[in-house]
Amino acid sequence: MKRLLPLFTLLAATACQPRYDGIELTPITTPPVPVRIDAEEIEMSVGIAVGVDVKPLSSARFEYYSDDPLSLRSQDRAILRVEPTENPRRFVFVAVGPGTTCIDIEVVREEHGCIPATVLAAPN
Amino acid sequence: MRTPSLLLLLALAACTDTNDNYDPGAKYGEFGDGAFLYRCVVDGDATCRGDFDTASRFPEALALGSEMDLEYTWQDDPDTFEDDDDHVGEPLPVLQSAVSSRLRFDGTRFLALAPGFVAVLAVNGNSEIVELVHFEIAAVDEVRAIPSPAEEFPVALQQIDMQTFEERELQGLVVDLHGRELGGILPYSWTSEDPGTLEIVTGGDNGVVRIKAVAAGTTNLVLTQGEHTLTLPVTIEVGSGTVSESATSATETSDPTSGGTTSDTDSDTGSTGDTDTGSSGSTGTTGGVL
Repeated sequence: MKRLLPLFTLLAATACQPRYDGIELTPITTPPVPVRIDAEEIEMSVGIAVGVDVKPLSSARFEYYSDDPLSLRSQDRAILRVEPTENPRRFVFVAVGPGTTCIDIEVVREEHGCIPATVLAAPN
Repeated sequence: MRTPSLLLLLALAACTDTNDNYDPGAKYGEFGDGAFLYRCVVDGDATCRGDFDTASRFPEALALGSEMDLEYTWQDDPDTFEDDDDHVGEPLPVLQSAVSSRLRFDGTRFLALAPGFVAVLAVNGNSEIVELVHFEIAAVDEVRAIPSPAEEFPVALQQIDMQTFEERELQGLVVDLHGRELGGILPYSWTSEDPGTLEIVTGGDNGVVRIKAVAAGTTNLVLTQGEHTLTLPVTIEVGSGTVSESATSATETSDPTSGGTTSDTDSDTGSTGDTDTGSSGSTGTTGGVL
């Protein structure tokens, strides 16, 4: 029984934590040309910047706290930059150059894959 | 039965209420926290009409090849367009272009390098973006001249009728393919094809030229901006000898989309260099900041 105690403790601690189940991206600004921004794909034109609210989703009973660290990092900042704002759950996506890249997701210091991103040459 | 109609009317009136604090000279940030103002730093800038520090109407688009000096101001309440003092004591954010190959910031001014949309980001001391806004850069399609000081809805001049010894001021401006007046500081060049008839008095370093009818006759006033040229026929008759400041006798087009005789090389490169008109007349070269 004593041997099982740490296991029970671990299980209990895990059960009280949120379980990552994707993120929700909500554009909060309206750029002058259409963009696609969601958890599946990002598509923007060069020169455009969009403010995006990001919410980590949990499949457990416990949701993430608003101060749980969340970061988005572009694998190629020459194509798409992801910049912080004063609100830790709000980012600005800046389409810098044409090409494809991926935006790495990290929630509570755990990596959770990346969102493919395409930046199109700007329509003139 | 009349009450629902009255309520509907009141509801419509509420929806159409205008906000007195809205400033047409400001381009409001997309986060609703700040506003961007077009600074008037060069005399004769067509975007700056009147003696103000900032433009009274923010340009719809910037001319390719032009320069712009932006000012940021906190504007925290998007409903009232007033500063709600959330940022009291905070230093103003630094403005950055999202794509420097399209809109380059040289530390003082933004230079429009390529057509299309581009975001300008306001960044605080913690490298956080606190506001953003988009600008459109459009190629110059045509250069025009209007009387100066400009009226609120100026009409492009097609020809100019003057009397001897009369002096007049004209303003150069540029429009895009859709006839939209483009903002931004650009160099202009004014030339009289016959300085013995029409003299360029001033117009050395800005977009406004002052001309003087020296003798009776006809000639052309040529306005050049980059690759674009406007030729305005000028007819001068013998006058009373008094100096007139009026510009109202100039013939204006009823259609603001056309003015004078225009030509260009159709390259639309937004070149800001002066064009050699091949004329031996007097020339006033304006701008020179690019």
